[in-house]
Amino acid sequence: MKNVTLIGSGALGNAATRLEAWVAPGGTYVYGSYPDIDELWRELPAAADQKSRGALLERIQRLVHDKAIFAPIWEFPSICAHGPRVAESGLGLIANYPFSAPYEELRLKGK
Amino acid sequence: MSTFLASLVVLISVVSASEALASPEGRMSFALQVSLAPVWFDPADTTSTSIPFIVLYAVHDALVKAMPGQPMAPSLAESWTVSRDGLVYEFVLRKGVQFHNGEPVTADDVKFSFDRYRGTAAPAFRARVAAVEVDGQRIRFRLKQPWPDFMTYYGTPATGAGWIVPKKYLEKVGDEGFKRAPIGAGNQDGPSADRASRLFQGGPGKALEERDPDRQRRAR
Repeated sequence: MKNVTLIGSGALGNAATRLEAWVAPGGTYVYGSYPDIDELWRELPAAADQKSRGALLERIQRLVHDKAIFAPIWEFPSICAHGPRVAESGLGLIANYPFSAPYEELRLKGK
Repeated sequence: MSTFLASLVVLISVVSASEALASPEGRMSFALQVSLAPVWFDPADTTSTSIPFIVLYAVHDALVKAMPGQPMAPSLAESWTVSRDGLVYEFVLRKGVQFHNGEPVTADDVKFSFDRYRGTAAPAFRARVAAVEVDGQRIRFRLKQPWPDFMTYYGTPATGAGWIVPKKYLEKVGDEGFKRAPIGAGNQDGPSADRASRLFQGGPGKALEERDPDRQRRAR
């Protein structure tokens, strides 16, 4: 196989921050480009209201899907577990954050 | 650098499809070992993964960060405002907050931390932020054009750009010295990487026993 890269990322953020790294021109993990996607990306800063931004981001994501730029082969399930002494693990307290946090919330069961 | 064992021991019942109705038999254990990478102690080096935040949430603090129920919770900043034209974001720094070495967290530290951030999103910031101005307890980010995602980049785990390091200390010990003995404003006193490693080696229980109650998070 040629021109295939196996990559993975656990980056948080939103559609725009992830597209910037993975799809937009000059992005950290971007190899090559498509004029239609690049054009939509350039329109994004001018779209100030949420509705038009959402529409642009959706169109970009649809193009990414239709062109099969990425071939998802594995979704990291982020399995977490904790021991029996832990009353509050901190897992899942912060939305979309896969690890235990914030630490000041952690509680042990009484001795 | 020692390593810590994220004691993930998960018991998995091995049940084949044909035995779906049978009682599970046997068990499989696995453990995941994660090396505590020195770069995770320095917010400036945060890559585009969420893993460094395991350390950042312990040792350091950010102007704004994700907290329970708040994707962008005021932390070292007590508040922020956005100008009507979307070009200026102004943060008001919380008073009386100190780094682990007793030095106050200042607006200069905020500017310094942003300027030295060299993580994955550094080009995005460089392309869009025209200037960072310090005015007493206030820090103003002037943008070249409206950037609706500025706070997502700066105030969530999308990047580590908003996490604050002590300017004076870093200028004294340098980048490598900082990784060996990081000092931050987080809830885990972290005078040395060795101590931080010990905390993680001991697991959450050890971290809980050693944490300083005075450093419990100010923002909720």
